[in-house]
Amino acid sequence: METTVAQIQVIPLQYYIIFCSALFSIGVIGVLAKRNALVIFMSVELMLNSANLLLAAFSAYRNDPAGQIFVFFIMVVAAAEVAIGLALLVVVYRSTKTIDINALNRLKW
Amino acid sequence: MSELVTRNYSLVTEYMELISILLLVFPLLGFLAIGLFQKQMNRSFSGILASSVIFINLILAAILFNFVSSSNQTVETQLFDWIKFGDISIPMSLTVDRLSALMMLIVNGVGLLIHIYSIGYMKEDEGVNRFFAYMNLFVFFMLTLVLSSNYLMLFIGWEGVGLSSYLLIGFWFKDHVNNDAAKKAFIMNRIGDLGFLLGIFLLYSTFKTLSISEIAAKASLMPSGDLTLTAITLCLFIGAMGKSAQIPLFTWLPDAMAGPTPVSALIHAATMVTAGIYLIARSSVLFVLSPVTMNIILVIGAATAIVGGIIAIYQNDIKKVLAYSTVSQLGFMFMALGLGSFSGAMFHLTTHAFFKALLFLSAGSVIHALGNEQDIRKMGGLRKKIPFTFALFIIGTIAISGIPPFAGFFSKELILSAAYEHGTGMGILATAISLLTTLYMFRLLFVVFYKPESKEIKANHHIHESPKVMLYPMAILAILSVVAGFVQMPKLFSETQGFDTFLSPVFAKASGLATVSGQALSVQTEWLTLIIPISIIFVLIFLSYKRFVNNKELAVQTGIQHVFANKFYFDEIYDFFLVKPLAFISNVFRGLLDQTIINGFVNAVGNGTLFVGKRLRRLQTGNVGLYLIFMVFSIIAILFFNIIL
Amino acid sequence: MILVLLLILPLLSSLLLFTGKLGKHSKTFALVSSLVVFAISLVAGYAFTFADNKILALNLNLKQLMDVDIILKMDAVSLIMVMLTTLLVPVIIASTAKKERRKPNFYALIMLMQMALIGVFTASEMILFYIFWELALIPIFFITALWGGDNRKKISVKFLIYTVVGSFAMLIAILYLYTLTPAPHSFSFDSFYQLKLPYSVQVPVFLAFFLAFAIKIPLFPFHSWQAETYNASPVQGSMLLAGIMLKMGLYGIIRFILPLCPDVVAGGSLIFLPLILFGVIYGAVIAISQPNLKKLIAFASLSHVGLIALGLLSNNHYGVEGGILQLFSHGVNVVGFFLCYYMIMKRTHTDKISDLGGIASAAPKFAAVFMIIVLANISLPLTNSFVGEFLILLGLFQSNMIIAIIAGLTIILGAVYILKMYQKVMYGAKSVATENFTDLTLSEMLVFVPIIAMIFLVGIFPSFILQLLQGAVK
Repeated sequence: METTVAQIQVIPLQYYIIFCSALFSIGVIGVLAKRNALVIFMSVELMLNSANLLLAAFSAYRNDPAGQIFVFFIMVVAAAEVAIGLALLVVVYRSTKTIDINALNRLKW
Repeated sequence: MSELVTRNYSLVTEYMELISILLLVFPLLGFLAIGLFQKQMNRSFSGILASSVIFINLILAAILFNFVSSSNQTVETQLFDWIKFGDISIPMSLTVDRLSALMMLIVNGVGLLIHIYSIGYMKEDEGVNRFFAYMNLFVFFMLTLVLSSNYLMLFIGWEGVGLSSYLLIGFWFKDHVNNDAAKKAFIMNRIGDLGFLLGIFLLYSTFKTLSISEIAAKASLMPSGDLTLTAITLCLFIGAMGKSAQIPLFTWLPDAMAGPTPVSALIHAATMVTAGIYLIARSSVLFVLSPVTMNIILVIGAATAIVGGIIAIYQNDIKKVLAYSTVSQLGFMFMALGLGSFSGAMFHLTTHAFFKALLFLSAGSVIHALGNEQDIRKMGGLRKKIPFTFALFIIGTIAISGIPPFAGFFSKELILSAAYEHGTGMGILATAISLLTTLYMFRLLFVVFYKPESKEIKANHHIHESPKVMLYPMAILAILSVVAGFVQMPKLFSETQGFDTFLSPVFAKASGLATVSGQALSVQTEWLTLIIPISIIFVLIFLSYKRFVNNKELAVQTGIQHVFANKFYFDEIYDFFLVKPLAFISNVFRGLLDQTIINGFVNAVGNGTLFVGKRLRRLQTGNVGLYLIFMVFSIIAILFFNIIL
Repeated sequence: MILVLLLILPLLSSLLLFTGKLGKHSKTFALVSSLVVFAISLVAGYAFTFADNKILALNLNLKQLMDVDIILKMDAVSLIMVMLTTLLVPVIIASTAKKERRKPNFYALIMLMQMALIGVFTASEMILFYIFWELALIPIFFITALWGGDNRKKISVKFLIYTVVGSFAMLIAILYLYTLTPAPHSFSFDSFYQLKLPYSVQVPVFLAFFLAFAIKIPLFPFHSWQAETYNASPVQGSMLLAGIMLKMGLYGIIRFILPLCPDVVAGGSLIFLPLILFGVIYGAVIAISQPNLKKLIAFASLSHVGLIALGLLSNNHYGVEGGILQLFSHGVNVVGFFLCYYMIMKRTHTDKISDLGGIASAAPKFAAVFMIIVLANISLPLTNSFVGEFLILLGLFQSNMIIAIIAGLTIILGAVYILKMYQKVMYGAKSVATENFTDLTLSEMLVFVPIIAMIFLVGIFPSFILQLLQGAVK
């Protein structure tokens, strides 16, 4: 355990932050730009994981295990979310034969 | 021995208390019995029942009257606590003293005669049962008014007689003219009632009690001209103005003639309208202590007497003439009150009750004979067709004009001498006012009975004398109109002042407090004040005989006479300044303020919400991508503001 | 215990009615159960007069289960209000015509309403009070929305939202006061009464409560729902509203504003009294030209309840006691008035005053009954409302003479609109609508009996109510 922490600390914290921000931004752009629901889900996962990574990094630097506990929680939630999301997608696909989110615009005013 | 006397004594008092309660119970029972069994009751029976109720009442009243006049004590009866909690206690309780005993006799006596008269007069009417029920109700409330020992209970009677008056004026309710008259009477009375009620509030705030005797005792310790007392008496006087038809609240009384004639006789001549005089006489202590109010009463009374008298000269409806005559006579009584002659006012009230009731009943007899014709232009020459009525009418006319030795002479004389004691100018004014009576009454007499027959009379072959059941009560009233005056002779003729002495215990406190007492008149002046008016009266009678009997038509009215005939346009003025604006305000409130502004504002709030919602929902495009963009930029914006601010 | 019974019985009866199993007998059942409730309330009244401290109380401590106590208390004011409710509900139920064939749910809602009203009047704990307060809205909303006349849905929604806005202000005030109570916080009335609020706190608390009650009562200018709702509601709904439910607001003034904000009431009479006073005159003036009989009753009622509010806020104990007495009297009178309206409506199917006329000659019994009720409405002496109005005006007179004089104008204005209405409806010649007007049947007469009995009973012997209040008003 100590070794892992030590290894993480080899890389300076700023690098993690920059990397995670980049990863998060890619996720955001993916969510915003893509029309395919599956890709959007993947982008969301990317954002979640960037947050996870950052949590783990901070946890190591601050010697506080709470961050890592959060990571586990997020992974559980993400898994649940994906399960429901994919199930929804399957239903949507069955009824509309597409997973393009722009086709799903009937729930309006 | 003395114990026995006391017990015997208290037993008598107890009987008297019981009688005073029964006085109220019988008319109420009569009302309930006739009212509840209207449909089942035989038409001729209701009149007999109602009359016998009043007859029993009259006997009871006579017993009470005898008791209080012989023993000179008051009968106080506690019925039950009406409003009682904390420090306020207003009981239902009755007081019989000489003043209320007198009123009681008038109400029941005149009431009985008019009830009997009505049996004949209302015989053909389909609502005869309802009529007698209302009449008994009126007697009940009038007696409540007279007997009550506190102001709030007096107010019950006060409003109650107003209610009975309303019901009886609008007795023939199918015609809206009658209903309008009834409504007008009630509303104008209510204006006065508000004044009365405010007076009661002031009384209670000042004295912490409403008992008339306690208030009199407490008030007699207050200084004359006290501001609160002035306010109280003004308020009470406003009440009296409404009930007793004084300027400016008098216009309801002539309209009230829309009711059946017996009603006009009982309520709007003999009893109810005199309630205002009774109220002031009852509160004599308060009034004596507020000279300002007394002067106002004097002015208003005089003004009403003059205005009423002048209008009466120009009326062409037999009942309207008598109605304005009542207004005028009531004004005269108020003058007497204003002069501080309470017993003078009460004496004139008493005699007026007799001869005015007689005049109204005679007028009713005329109307009855002619088949509901009230316009005097369509009458004339009736003295041969209905001689009894004519004879009775003439007695009434002489009595009201103040020709000796009829009752009116004595009562007017008492007031006139009070006026002369106050000042010569006042005396002359009062004399002039009393002379007005001669003018309108003899005009009426000549036009109705002496003038050559009009063509309507000639065409009418059904003219008939009224039945005995109507004539006998009139005859009794006529006798009373002749003899009633002798109880109080002018000082010149008799040492014993019967009426004055009789009421003196009631007004003792007041006369003790009176500040201004005029100087007594010399014998010569008194003779002058007697002889000059009487001679003028005869001149006037002669003049009006010439004028009205020989002229075929009543002269066309010109100029100022129009103003008189239209009762100085009082009704039009009220209509323009009160009724119309009220209706206008009501419509403005209802249409503009309530519907448009207030409700509009409330609805605008609701509609505004709906409107904004309608616009904002356009943001809900259904495009998930767009939602995401909103979300992201909102988060960025929140973060941004959080860091900056 | 008796208090619980008063609450549970209407509730059970209501639930049973909701099942619809009773079918044709629904009305009879509702009538009987409401009469039983009335009997119980009489017992409660009897017990009350013999209770030592003049309070019937029930205190269930449920701290373990949830964070509220259930405290029910019945003091003199509550007793009067409960008696009013239990007296009027049977009358209201009995008044429904056979022909109209109301569904069981209609009676169920009325019984539910009764339960909620009794709850409001006996609750002595804020949360409980608030729940009942809002619960009372639900039945009347459905009664109006389901059985009403034209525009019933829109109007009932407006009514609901309007009153809920007021309740919301009250809720905020309640929660705020809760935070002021000493720890552990409590919602009970007693703990609220023990707060001696500084003036600066009393003002906002007063405003919040006043808004809630002013909408409920209603007072000018928050009254615009009233006439519409009366008009749209079936007549039983109007009776419930005008007779009992509006009294909740006045009851609220007695319960909260008077004890919690005494300084505002004492000092601020020049700020809110003129507003209410204007409403009193305003209602009466509008009633004069109102062409619709039901709306006329609404505006007359606006004027009357305004006068009661004036009395309660007059800062004079005569005014307060007169106001409480008048609460009772006005409830009886307005229900009587609506009953008369209903009798006319049932026979002529019109409520336009100008379409009516000549009823008095066709139906003398009805004319007499209507006359008595009308006279009670213009507070003629010996009818119930005279004593109340007399005391209110006396109280006002002692605290502010000018306001009393202006308020006294209603005595005149009342006579104007009432007599004008009565004349046009009852007198004159018959119209097309009143051609075949039939007089009251025996069963209809019976409905009027309690109303007329109360008019004279309270008018002639008001002491039995006034004595109850002795000591209750401080």
